[in-house]
Amino acid sequence: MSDASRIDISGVTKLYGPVKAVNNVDLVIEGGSYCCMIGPSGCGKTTLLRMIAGHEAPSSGRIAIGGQDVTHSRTGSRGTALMFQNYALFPHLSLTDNVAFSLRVKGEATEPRRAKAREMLDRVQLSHLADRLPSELSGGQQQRVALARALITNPKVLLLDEPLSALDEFLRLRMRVELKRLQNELGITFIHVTHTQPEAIALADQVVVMDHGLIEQAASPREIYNHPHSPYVARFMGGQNVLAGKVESISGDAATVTTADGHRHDLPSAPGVTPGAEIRFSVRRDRIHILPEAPARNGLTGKVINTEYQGTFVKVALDTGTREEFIIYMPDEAWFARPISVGETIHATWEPAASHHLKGTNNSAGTPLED
Amino acid sequence: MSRSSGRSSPLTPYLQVAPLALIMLAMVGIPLITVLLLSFWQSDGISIYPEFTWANYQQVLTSPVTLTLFLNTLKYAGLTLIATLLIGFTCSYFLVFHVRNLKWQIGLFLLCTIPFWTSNVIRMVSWIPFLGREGVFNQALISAGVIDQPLDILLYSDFAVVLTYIHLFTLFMIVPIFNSMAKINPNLIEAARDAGASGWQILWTVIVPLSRTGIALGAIFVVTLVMGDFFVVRVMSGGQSASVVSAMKNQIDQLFYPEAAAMAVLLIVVVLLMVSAILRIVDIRSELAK
Repeated sequence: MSDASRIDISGVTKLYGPVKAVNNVDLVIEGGSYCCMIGPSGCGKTTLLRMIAGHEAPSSGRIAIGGQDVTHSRTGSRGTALMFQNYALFPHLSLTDNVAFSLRVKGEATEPRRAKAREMLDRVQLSHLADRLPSELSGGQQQRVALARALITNPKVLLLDEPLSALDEFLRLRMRVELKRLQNELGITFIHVTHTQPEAIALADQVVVMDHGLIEQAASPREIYNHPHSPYVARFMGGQNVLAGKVESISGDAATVTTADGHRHDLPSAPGVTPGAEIRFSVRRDRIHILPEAPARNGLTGKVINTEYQGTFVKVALDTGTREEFIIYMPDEAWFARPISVGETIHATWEPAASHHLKGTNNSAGTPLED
Repeated sequence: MSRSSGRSSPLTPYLQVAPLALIMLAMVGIPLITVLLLSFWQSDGISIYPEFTWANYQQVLTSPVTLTLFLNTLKYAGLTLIATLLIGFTCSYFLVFHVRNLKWQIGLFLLCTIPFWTSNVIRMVSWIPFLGREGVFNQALISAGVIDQPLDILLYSDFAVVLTYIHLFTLFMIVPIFNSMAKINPNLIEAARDAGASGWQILWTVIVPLSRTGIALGAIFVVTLVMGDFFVVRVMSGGQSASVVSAMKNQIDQLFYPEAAAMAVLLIVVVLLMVSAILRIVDIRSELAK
């Protein structure tokens, strides 16, 4: 199964007029894995998905599914099924006939195809509504119908275009679990486009972070979260502060960096940098401690501009004189033992191991635009 | 400014409906009742007597001419319906699914309405020099060597009548079908393609079913217009064919008003049956409410 649903994308570009929606992208998605494509609106993730599904043809490049070149083969004959963002259920057909649609166009007789469709509806726990029209269902139910309709073709690859964005928070979390369970059960490749970071982190075996038609980083969620490739990835995925400085000295792979305001920081691993170079690095927000005194190294000082209680931790935002806020996630006991009020000046520090050199150059803000 | 809220009397909705209701009563209700009354009165070709009789209906319903007239009119309506449906559906399909640019869409749509910039009579009459024995079309065919003798069936024939109907009424088909088609979510077509449907399958399983409200509305327009016409039949058939209404016109010219009225009532019943048959196939009300 696993090799049959492996996807190889090589050198794929999609032009809309002069605009490169997808720019010379190379990507391998292992068969049977759960891949999440994430990025702000207009980053090319949906275009890439639609090219895999065959709804758009690449301007150049090659797409293979299970080793077979499908770049120009017909939609619906390449072993993919796409689940649309707004579900795209046929409003004039009952749930059974919606799910049975692909069997109908293949010429399967009415009774066997309806029986199969009902079986599939049973699988998504909707068999009691089999004769209803889509307009009589709730959003969550419509989505399960869309899922059943996509799966009845026995696809090698299921493509999901922002499947959870139209649901409320509660349903979204439930459907997320459902999707993951289904993917484990079926063992086929899922490609899921989203702009919600927790969704990608929670679901994916492989996260593909995109920006401006390029893949910034494609790796496991843990890798993406702990070792972001560029300042953009670090900011977009969250959980990291991005700092900039000049390399002062190096010893082996380790480097010492001085920021514009004179603070010194140790980077345990920054291979390839040279003294004098301007570099950026990230610091995990949840690995930062508060000190009574300004630390000699690996720390900074700032004025608290906001605190937000998050249940298990407290989010403290500091103004450190740069344009970017410096965020600390404090354990709630630590915060309640010594609450910090807005306007206070505090000192923060971290272990050198909590920082990570950002090799990539994409320095955009990475705030996801709302769709 | 905000005096409307909270102080409406129970009469308000009736007052709001009143203007339209009065117009409908005066313009539709009263004439209809007059026709209905008239159809039960007596006449002798010179004057009309307000005395109850079934004679008009007896005559209309037993005369073999009535059946011929209705069959002839239904033939016109059927042929026109098929042709306008094919043309209207194709035009709308092209406008909605092939012309993606909104400006082009509006421009081409306006082009469809150009024939409506002149009166029905001019549009109809302008076919005569084109289709006549010595007309442009025959001349062209002869000079191209396709035929030796001019074709007679082009003008003053059923062909000419139906052709003129198609010319006059196709827009009534295009507009509602265009409207229904424009509401089809393009994702539905992609979803069908994703499920492996071919172009024809998408047309039959998705686009036609979702355009049916427009098709039904257009069919109602075309059928009622053709069923109610007498002028086109009279001019374009050269007096060789008759429709229900053109026969009625003859009776009116001969002052047989009550018989014409009975015929009119029969026509109304037939057209109402046809419209309700269309409405039975497509529930326009619930579709429009979506």
